[in-house]
Amino acid sequence: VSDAFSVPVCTQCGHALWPSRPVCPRCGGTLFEPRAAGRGVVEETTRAGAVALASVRVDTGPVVIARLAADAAAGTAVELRWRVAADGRRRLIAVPPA
Amino acid sequence: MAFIVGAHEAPYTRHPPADRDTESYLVEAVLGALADAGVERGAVDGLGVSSFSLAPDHAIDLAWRLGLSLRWVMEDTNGGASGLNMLQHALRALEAGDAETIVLCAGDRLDRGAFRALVENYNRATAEELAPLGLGGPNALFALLTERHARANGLERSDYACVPLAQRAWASGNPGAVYREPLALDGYLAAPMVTPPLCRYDCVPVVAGADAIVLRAERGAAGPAVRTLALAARHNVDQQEGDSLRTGFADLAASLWAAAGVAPGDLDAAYLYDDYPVMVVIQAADLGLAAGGDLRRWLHASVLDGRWPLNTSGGQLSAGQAGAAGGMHGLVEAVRRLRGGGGEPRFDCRLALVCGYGMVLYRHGACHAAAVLERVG
Repeated sequence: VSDAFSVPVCTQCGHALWPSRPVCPRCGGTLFEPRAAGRGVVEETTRAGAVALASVRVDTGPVVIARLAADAAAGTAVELRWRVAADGRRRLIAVPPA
Repeated sequence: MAFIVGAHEAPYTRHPPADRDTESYLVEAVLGALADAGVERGAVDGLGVSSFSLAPDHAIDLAWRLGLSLRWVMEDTNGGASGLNMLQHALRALEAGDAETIVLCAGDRLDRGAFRALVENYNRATAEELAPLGLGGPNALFALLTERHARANGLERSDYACVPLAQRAWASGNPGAVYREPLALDGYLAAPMVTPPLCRYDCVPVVAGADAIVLRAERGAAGPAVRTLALAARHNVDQQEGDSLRTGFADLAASLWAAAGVAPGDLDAAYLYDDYPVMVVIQAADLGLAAGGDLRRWLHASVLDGRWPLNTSGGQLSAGQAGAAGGMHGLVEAVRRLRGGGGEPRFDCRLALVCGYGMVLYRHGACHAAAVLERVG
């Protein structure tokens, strides 16, 4: 199972979405293909209990909410990937450089 | 025509007794609003309901259990925008003659488990993409928005604090508020962090309760009534792809003020949707309430030092948020004030602004509605 993060991109107009939706808000297209979205930049951070969270602007467009693997300030370039938790649910993780 | 002729809030409580369910709060609010209006239950021919926890019942079940026979019924699922959304529909129904006497109500009793289930399954995007991260509700999203807004506008925690501090002063006159004791800046800054930069007093206390208003096509004779000069809404304006620093309120502002025939400076009070202080500041900016767009000056000189009538019940930040009733709390307080009631201190209220905001789809709320209300009689 791949942990690579990708976002759906409208095949008609190239608009990248997150979260996925059945209709492209820009052009109305209904066909999408995945595009790698493994790189982004932290925009804001917060914490909920022990969990560090960030909004991350993906290089390919959308802003996503992700769990931070380690503390990172706004402006930090991060790698985005999926991590499957013990409960089987997948979480989007933002990994700052070591 | 259409007039709001009565309003009631079933008192909010953080610790509802085990034998009280959501329906009991809605019934109390509906019967209280009818008593306030001096309207017989049998005259009601329209009912609108918003609740996250009335299931498996719906609006028609509540009508049956209240003994109401109706010509018009609706249920609204738009959370913090539900009060004004129902009002928008009810005004048209009364003007069109589909109903003559409408009661709108909203309320919830959510225990810890029900609240968690609600926030984790708020919509599909939340259940699939946010809940697994461990957000535990919307506080973290509004923390991110607050940080973004603070950076863009050069504001600090002591600026946003003006909202909860000022509203707390108003709450001292509301016996039903959860937080009534005075709060000063040092107490605010020392409060436990929830989701930085948001502390305890930036987040609404969860309560049980309900709110209701009564509308009629004719005014009747029971004291002052309230007329809606204008109501405008914008929903899903940015597809969740914007930064939410400028919202649907900015899109509706010009048409709202033009239709109402008044300007922000004419207002005697404003009931801005206060799920978080940053949203109050954004509404003030988008709707033109801050003279010259100087948000810091508006916060300190008008809201805090000037005690300008903002959320005069104490708002949700002091009175609490009873689920979907959050969308009606400001409306009920506005109607009370416009009809000459409300807590101390009283003030002459002839013109008020009420806002509804809600439904976080992924990063921020999608529903925006605002109404300008005027006292008649």
